[in-house]
Amino acid sequence: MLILIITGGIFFIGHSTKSPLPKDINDQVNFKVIYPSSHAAQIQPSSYNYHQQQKVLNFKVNYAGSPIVFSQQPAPRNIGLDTQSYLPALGIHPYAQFDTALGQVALTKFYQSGNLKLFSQSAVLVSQDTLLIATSSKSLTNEQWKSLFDSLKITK
Amino acid sequence: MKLTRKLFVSAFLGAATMFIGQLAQAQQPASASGQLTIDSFNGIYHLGRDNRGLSLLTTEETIVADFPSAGFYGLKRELPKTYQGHNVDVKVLAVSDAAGNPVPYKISSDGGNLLITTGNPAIKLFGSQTIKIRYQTTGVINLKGNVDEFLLNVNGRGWDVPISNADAILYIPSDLQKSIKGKPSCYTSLGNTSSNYCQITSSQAAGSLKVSSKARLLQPHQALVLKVNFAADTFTNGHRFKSLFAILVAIVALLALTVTSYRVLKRRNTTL
Repeated sequence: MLILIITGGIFFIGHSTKSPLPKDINDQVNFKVIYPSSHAAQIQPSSYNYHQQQKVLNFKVNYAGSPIVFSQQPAPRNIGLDTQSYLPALGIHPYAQFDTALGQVALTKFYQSGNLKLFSQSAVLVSQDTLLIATSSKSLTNEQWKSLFDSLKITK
Repeated sequence: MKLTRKLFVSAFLGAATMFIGQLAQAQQPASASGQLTIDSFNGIYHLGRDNRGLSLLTTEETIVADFPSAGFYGLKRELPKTYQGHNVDVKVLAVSDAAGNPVPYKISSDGGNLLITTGNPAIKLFGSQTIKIRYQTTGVINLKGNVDEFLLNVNGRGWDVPISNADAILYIPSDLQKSIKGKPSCYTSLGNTSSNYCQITSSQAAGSLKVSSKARLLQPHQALVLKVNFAADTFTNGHRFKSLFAILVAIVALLALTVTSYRVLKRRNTTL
């Protein structure tokens, strides 16, 4: 019984969805925050940035040798509850989509105007009323994006 | 037919005379809304031969396909494993996207063909997608005529969707150029009919002969075919060295037998 309790406790601690945000930012954010939870994707502690007026939270994640900017905000409920609803609203045409525990993720590319060079790749996820757009200036494979998003968690 | 949202391929053998029908077919499941289209099929080929005279072909295919909203995850490509009764030793080197990033793939067998399935079933693709497949084959020359014939079926006859642009660039190294008989030629083939709705040019490029051919607006199952003839015995089936080796082994064995017999006889003579 004791072993079961200890094992359960370790499992709970290991899988807890405690916010990774610094306390001062955590106190301001009033929406659920999506964050990576694997060793392969580490948040840069100095990169947290919260815009109170726009209610936009940014931080950088080191993943696959590239900094990926996580930008998230409350998702307006009148558009919809899932990623698919937001794609036309955001004018996004995905080139790939996959499912994760937090919902469906859409991958899209942004190009520089004029020369049409690839500017960035972005992944869009709407989960539990939070809209996350993760952007990488380096080209990641579809599998790398999926692996990253499979490791994401959301605060309670 | 199981209605799955993926691409699949059915084997479709080209004409018997046709080299290595690089057979791929994209069939739409009946439920699919919208049809996959092939914007371009570009093949770059490097022909060579090994020290036995066996032909070697390194191929890089770049397929640009427009994926509909039906939720496909990749392409399937079938390559014959045999040609004129011998194994062509298909070796897949890499599958990548436009940026050169690796694309997951798996290899399986489908009848007499090697089947390459690209993509991850968990990741659906949309819009323009580029798939590059690099592979090597051996024994790709028809040695049964009075010339050594290289007949390259560029896009294969298995696609049941049209192909807007088919392009092939064949590099022939300098040591093989002097054996070329006549001019390289091209044609398009659909069923039992062929036509010359294709273009072909030749030029020198870094010590190699560069043969470029292209065809536009290919119909489903229509293939661009490139043909280059070489003088007879430019290539071999790779067995020449095996035969020489067998002869060498036989000579050594005979010598060893002779020496042993001689020694035995000599010993007998000395002991008598």
